[in-house]
Amino acid sequence: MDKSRARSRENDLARLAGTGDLRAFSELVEIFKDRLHQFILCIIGPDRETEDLTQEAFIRIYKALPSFRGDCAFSTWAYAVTRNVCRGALRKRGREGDILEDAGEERLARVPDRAPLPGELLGKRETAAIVRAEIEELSPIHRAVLFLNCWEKLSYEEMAQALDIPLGTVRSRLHNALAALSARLRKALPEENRS
Amino acid sequence: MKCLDDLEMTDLVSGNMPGPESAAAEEHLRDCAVCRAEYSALSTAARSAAAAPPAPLPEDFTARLMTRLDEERPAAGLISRLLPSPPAKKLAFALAASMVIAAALLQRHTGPSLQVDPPLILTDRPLTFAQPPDAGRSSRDEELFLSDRCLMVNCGL
Repeated sequence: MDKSRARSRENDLARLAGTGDLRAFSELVEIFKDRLHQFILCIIGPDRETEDLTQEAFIRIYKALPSFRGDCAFSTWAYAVTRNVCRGALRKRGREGDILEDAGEERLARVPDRAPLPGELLGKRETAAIVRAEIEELSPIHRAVLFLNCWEKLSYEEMAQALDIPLGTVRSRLHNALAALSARLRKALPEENRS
Repeated sequence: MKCLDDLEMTDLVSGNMPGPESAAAEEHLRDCAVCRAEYSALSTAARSAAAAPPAPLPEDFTARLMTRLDEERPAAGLISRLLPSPPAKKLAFALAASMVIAAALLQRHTGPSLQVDPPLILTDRPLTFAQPPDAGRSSRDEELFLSDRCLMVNCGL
């Protein structure tokens, strides 16, 4: 199913779920559970509570669905709701503000000085594990923009809406995130294993 | 074309550069080794990030979430447990409505009249028929009323 048809289907399911159709909502949960969980992981970082927060996000989404007008993609709207759930969780921990703000970019320059692994070709799984580990080392805002752009393929406008930051900021943060990941991968992976 | 700045490079890598500009930028990359190296590095990072799938949640996540949602809506939860699919709910509603209408029609044609006969009242006096409840109430207030009919709503029982 191509992207536009998938989005149209997701919006149809969201409208149905907004009328109280739990079956439609269950289908939406199946489509989005790993993606929202990953987004939460990007913002919060590895944490025991990310699964609970994902549940919380879906419950918030279900309750807010009657107000979903369908004038944007459901995914963009769902990420915006999830972002607010993360903000609430961070506020409780006294960490709000360090997450999607400029301060979150401070780790950009800190690239570990280590030699790449030996020149042998790594398996795909090992390479993926190293890439994931390097992404985890990035700041929350860099993880979030990389996930939304590279995996979710959201447009700049959609990312700005999901993250509640200006469009120009999306561009500059995406550049910084790509540059930071590139620097890390150069250090961590043999050249043959870089995609 | 001059060298691409950071944001233009990001637009190109992320596919957010408009077609004509993108073609010009790609032509520039063929001639400029510095921009080509930068483009290659950022593209590699983007492809690597795109190849790292989300970490999967446990398989029973959806079931647990739906149970929690169901529990947060007690009345609706009961209904959904009894009638799990929307067509079944519609059918059950139609059946229930039909039964209520049928019962009302049946009662109209065969049931007891809504107009209650003068009730049989047992008192400590000789057996007698009472007046309708409102009539002469003040004179009977102190009597013991026992009736084989419902005097409250005239339901016929």
